Amino acid sequence: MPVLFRIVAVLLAFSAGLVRSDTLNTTYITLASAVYEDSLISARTLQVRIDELLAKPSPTTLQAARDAWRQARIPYQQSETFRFANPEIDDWEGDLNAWPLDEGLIDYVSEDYFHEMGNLGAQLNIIATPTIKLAGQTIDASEITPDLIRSFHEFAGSEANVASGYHAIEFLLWGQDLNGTEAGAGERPYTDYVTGERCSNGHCDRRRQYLKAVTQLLVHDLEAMVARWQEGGDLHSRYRAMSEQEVASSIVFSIGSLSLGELAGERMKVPLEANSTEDEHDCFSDNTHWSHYYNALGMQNLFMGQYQRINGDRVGGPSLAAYAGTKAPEASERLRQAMNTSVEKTHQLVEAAERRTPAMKFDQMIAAGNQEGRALVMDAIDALVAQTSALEDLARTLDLDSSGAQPF
Amino acid sequence: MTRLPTRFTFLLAVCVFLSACGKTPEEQLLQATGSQALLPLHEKFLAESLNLAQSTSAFCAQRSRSSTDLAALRNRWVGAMNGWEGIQSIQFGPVIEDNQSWKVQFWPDRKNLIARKTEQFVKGDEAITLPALQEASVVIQGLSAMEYLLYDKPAEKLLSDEGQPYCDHLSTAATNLHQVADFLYQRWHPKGGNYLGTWQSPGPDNLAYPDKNAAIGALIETLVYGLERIKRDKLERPLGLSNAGQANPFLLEWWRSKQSREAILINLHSLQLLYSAGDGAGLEELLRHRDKEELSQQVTALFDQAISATASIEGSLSENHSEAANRSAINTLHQTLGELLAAFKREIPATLGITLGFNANDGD
Repeated sequence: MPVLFRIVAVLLAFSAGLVRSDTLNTTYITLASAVYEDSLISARTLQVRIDELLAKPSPTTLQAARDAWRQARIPYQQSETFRFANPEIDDWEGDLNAWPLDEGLIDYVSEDYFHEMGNLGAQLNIIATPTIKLAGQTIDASEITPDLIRSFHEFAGSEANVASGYHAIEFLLWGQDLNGTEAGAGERPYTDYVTGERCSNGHCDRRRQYLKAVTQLLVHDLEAMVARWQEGGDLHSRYRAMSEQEVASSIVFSIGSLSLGELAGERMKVPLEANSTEDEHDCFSDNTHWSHYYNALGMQNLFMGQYQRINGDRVGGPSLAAYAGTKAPEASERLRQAMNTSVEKTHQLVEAAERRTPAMKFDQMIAAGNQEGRALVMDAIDALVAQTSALEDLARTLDLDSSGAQPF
Repeated sequence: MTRLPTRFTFLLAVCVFLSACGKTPEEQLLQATGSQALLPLHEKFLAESLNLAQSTSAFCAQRSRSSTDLAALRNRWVGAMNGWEGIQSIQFGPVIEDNQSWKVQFWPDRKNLIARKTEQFVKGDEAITLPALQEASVVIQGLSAMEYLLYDKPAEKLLSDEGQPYCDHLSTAATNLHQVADFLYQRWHPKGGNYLGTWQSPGPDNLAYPDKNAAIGALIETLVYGLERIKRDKLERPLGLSNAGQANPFLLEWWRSKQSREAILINLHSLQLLYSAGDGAGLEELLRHRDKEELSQQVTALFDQAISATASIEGSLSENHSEAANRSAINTLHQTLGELLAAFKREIPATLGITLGFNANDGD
């Protein structure tokens, strides 16, 4: 019986494999759905922790909210690999992960705060200003709602006016990092959220409103993205309808853009070469090393057709690695190795930042004259550049269009 | 019987003279673009930056400096900046070794790092020397820092005794700039690093350019990169052509010296040169060979149109961009750049069977 059972089981599994038409398309949808769902789940947890912070402000509840924010970054940073091939995601993304921000738009800042030159909103301080008068206009900001925050996002056309998203929340949880390239992150006191006499830095009621509303927005935006990947959603339908070759092109284009221009360029090369802590990605929390690592991991996931969910489950399916492996084995293998190296080199940033004595965070790595830090960041940049060129080789070999022949 | 050898001899003579016969159109493209565009453009930047370095050191060695001296030095700076704008779009070869381009120019500088870091360096305890400058942030190393020193608050100080540290920085940055220009030129030149030779001889043993399409692809990517930078970074973002339509002149290139329009003009001339190879047989000619006469001419016409639209902008972009006549010229330029980009990103690569790679503009 057990033998027969086993044979039947094998036969069943085999026939299931035949009828189930798993393709690059279904993998893409599976991975995107899972990573955005995880982003949503962890954002909802963040919302719970923030509600607890607001219900009972204390060092403990503030710490718990900060920890939840860090956890929420894990899936979100892995999701960014889906961004550049899809203009809809790229447009939506600005409300969630725009950076670097002129945080003086939102709340109090130190006297030596530097903002984008020519930015009208750079010192607006919405939290301290119930009636905003600007350029002949009067805006009633007496109640800080999600809509009000939305209306100030990219205010006056400046990308530095980031009113919503992860980094706005990060600023509200940590405050400015005033340590420059020295050790230490933002040190906002929990009393910034205490009502009544113990309120620090003023306007605690309005700061509470802001934090609550901006977190609602994040959850709301992620809900919308999750729906688009579900059966019947526009992105789900689009990726269903594409040819596998088109999905392959989309993956290549997306990974290449995140690799080179965004992660290696804007997020690492600019802060490194300019020794500019204000161009650090998670500059308030000093969580940048993790963000970079999860970006690299996300790209590898997409190529390998795999993703480990935040609950530990593994999802996946036919991968570009396998698809390319049969048609262009050498180029595919080179890319696989290059992506391993990128994950490894970005993980070295994590190791340096999380080691016990003495830890070196990203903002310390980019200090002028820090040879060890420079080498760590340069190695990660070089790995991403090499990964991009391996990707280009693969695209040529497979005759994929990676030139961004997308509708933008 | 006697006519054949004669004709053969004649042909041979022509071939030796032109040294073009027997070469495929692709080989001719690589030769002509190298000798007519890539090398001369780098040579110009080298000559102008040497000129600037010499003038700056003479300026700073003077006992007293007049505003006339300053005006003359600013002209030298404009010369070197123009030399740089001629090669700014070239994103392959020596420029990517150790990130040379940022040593020359850091832009856009949203949070005024240039002013802050230059002031810190000038007022700091460390002596202002070339090694110290090269160790410091790239934003203070080249043309960008010099522009701040020559056109912003320090300019006045340069004329007084207290201005010596500013002049020291100015002259150190000029020396550094010349070193970068020299490095680039030497690395390209056949008598130096001969990157030109690498680019001009694609083949299976050539790691960088395993086939002709890879070499020509690098040229097309440069054209795409240059055009995208003009369209997005030099027009759309600073002038608010996209988005909510708010202009922010601080995002313009060279806003301190008000040279934004001139820089675009020089970019366009050099991009057109990279396309045509001057009188040589460049990409423009290759398209004709592939029976794309119309496309070839159309691209030439679009370059002409973009150049004339830019030239017709009056005054500076920072102050006069919203005037009606300028608005229309800027819109024409913007639209023409979009058409040029469509040609270089899609039609031309498709015609030549080339797949383009990524550039630093991809992403945000």
